[in-house]
Amino acid sequence: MSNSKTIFIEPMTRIEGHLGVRVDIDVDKRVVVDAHSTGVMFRGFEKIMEGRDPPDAIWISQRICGVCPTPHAIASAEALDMALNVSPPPMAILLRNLADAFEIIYDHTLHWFQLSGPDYSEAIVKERNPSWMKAAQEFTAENKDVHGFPSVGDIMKAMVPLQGSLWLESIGFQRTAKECLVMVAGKYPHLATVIPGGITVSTTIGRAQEMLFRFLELVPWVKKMVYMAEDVFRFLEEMGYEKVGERRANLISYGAGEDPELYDAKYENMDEWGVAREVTPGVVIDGELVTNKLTDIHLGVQEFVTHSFYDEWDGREVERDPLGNEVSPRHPWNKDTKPKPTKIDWNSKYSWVTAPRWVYRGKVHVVETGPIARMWTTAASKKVEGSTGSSLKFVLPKTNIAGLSQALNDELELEWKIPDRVNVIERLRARIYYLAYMTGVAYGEILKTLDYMKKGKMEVFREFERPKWSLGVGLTEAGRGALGHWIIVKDGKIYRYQVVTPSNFNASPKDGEGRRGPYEEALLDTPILEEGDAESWEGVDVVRTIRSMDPCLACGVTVYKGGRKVEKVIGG
Amino acid sequence: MGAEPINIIWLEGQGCTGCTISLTNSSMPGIADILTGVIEPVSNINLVFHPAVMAPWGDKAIKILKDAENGAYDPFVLVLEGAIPDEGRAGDGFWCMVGEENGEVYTLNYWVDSLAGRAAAAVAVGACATYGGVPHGEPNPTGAHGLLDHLGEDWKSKLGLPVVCIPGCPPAGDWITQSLGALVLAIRDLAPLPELDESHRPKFLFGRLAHDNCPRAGYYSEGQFAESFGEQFCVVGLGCKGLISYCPAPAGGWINRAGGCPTFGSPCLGCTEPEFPDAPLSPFLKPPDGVVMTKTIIKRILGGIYQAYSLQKGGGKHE
Repeated sequence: MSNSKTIFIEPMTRIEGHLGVRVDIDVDKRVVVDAHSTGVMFRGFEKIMEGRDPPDAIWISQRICGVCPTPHAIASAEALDMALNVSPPPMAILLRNLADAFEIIYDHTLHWFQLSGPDYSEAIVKERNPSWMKAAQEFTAENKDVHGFPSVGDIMKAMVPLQGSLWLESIGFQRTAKECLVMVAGKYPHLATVIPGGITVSTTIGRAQEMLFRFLELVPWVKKMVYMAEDVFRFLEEMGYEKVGERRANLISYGAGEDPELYDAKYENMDEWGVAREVTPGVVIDGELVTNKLTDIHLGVQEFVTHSFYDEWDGREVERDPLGNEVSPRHPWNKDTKPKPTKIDWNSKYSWVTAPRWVYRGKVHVVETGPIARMWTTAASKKVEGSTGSSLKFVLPKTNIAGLSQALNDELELEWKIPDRVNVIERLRARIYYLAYMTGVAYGEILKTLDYMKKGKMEVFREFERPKWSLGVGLTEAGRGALGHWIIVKDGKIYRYQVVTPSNFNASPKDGEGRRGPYEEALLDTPILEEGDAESWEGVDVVRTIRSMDPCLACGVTVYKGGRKVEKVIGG
Repeated sequence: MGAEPINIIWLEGQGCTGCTISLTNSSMPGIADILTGVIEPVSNINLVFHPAVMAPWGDKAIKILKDAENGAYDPFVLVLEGAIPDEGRAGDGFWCMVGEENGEVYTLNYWVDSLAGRAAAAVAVGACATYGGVPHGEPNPTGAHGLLDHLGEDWKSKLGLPVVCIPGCPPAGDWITQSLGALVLAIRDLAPLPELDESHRPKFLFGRLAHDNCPRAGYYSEGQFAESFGEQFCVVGLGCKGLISYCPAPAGGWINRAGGCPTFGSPCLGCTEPEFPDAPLSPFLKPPDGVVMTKTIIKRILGGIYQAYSLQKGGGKHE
């Protein structure tokens, strides 16, 4: 171990929130031999929600995250639809779906250009992988006729943060996607209109057209992104990047996009309406799909605090779910947050993030979540049109926008194939294809909205109750993966509110039996391709691995504070 | 002759990055216009530190803040997104870490205290950074508060400016770029300083109640109130706090002039007010005190007058 190097990265910039990652590298073998991830900011949302009027949860819980408030609004609204005993009308469900799809279009564009993308831009590559820059300049972009960049090196130059042409241009397209979103939400970030029982405003033929024609500007842009990204991925494969960030295919997705006719917010029917979603819920263990049932999926979620700064909790508020299934004492409905700050001990307690795991038939699984998980479950399940069992086929519509190349205006048929490994490149690729898939979904939903208008189904709200005691669960997909909200209502007020976010899964520390969390697993054994002598390494392969999972720490940090070796706090 | 450079150091505390996302929603001026220096008076503005968009990470990122402490980035505008916790309540731990050096943790509070003294101006962006926002909500587990409380009402920057607050959860992107733009123009002596109200909000944005900016206010004065969500009438009876909150959004929208909360039938939450998210702004679906009585009075008197007008057109209450 004489020739080892430890890198502690804090702040991990270009993510949402405050994250630290510590890796130990074997310098001779150029490989990561140990990894820990920790979050370093705490607000206490779950405590702030207790005792409030249940509908307020929708607006407060969105404030967990300003990058992905829409899925928080939807998860919260669905948990409240269930707990407050109301089935929203179909038009409201369509409009919620649209908000979700528009958010993905902006969010995944943000990830590619502002968060993760700069690591593949000239600014970083020329410093950390100088030999790549020369190779990229000579690497012909196969799709150059479509996007206009002759080489991958030219794409990398346009991706430089704060000044590259693509970096700057992408901001405008994100804004257009968010303009579509406010046509439904009234406000963004943090949506105004989503409420238990539906949404506060219906659409009109005028507003629907405003939405549609803004949306159509996005379609060629999304096509261009797919073409450009494929050129970059081909280059990364050429550079031998396949083993960076690899871990086994244990994946979880809650699915997203309700069927407006099937969704009734009733727990008893959850498996039926869950499997009808535009994005299919599911869990994949070692590459094999094991279930599509939302009840299996959410009852399997258990949180461990062995390596986190909490005491174990007692008590069990919920022993059986409304169908009579057993609910584990570690399930979020039963979780009581008992923080106990201590100094970091990497062998014992070292993080404020809890460790959610997925337990099925007595076995505990470390599951990763994100676009690769939901593309995988959707492609493998054959529940939506275009799902073949091994791939997902879909179409982006033809447009006729003046000044654009024919290829960008033409209808584009795409096929995402289940990859043979989960690594940095495949996570990035899955995110780009999910963006494209949701663009197709959004188009379909807009047309459906027009159809509902034609049929006069304009109702968007039904009255809800404030029961003496009730349970709710809301499960959806945020940009970063599976997002769940669990609520217990007592005497008409919020008694317990628990949120398990995608980054809660992905950024988790070890569990009681020593299984590492997904970031840690992905970093372990990752080869170091960073150039220069070890002394100068800054961990570019580490940050690329972490950013391929798009951390969202404000989300992951709903219930923790913390850090590392807190010997002395400056400014405390 | 190029404009003298002005640097921006953007810190994030107990926040959600929503204000940054909102910044990317700006259009008049847009953030890209500012970064590229689209026109001379607002050129040469450099975003030297911003955790969500900057290229460097780890030690290299923290070096920028350390250099700023030593004057390398003067003159700079210090922008805060997110609330400031009470680190005194964190025992030997901390609530919010921003960087480390040889095992020593830097807190957000350290950087705020250290950089505020050098800042040409200090700007709090969003509900959390201005007055505490949701982290400050009851029971405020971390003692979160805003920059105004932290530095004080009477605090003055190196240029003699008080803390400038741009509230909202988040503020619209244009509120942020227009406020920063106004400050830059004032620092360069090209425009007057924006006038602030008693909560340190620029009056050009927050000079009128949400209600006075609301396209549904006409229904209020006609006594036409929504009884359920989805109706087109005034939503004050459903909990709207537009009568007690200063906000331009109902008229000006949120992104490229699109959107608006009560405009879209959603009750105003009062997210631009210092008390957000607590009483009197929440419960969000509970009408402000006195509204039930006012509604009745307006319905009886003004509603009658409205009916009289509409009868001239042969109609009653419109759909």
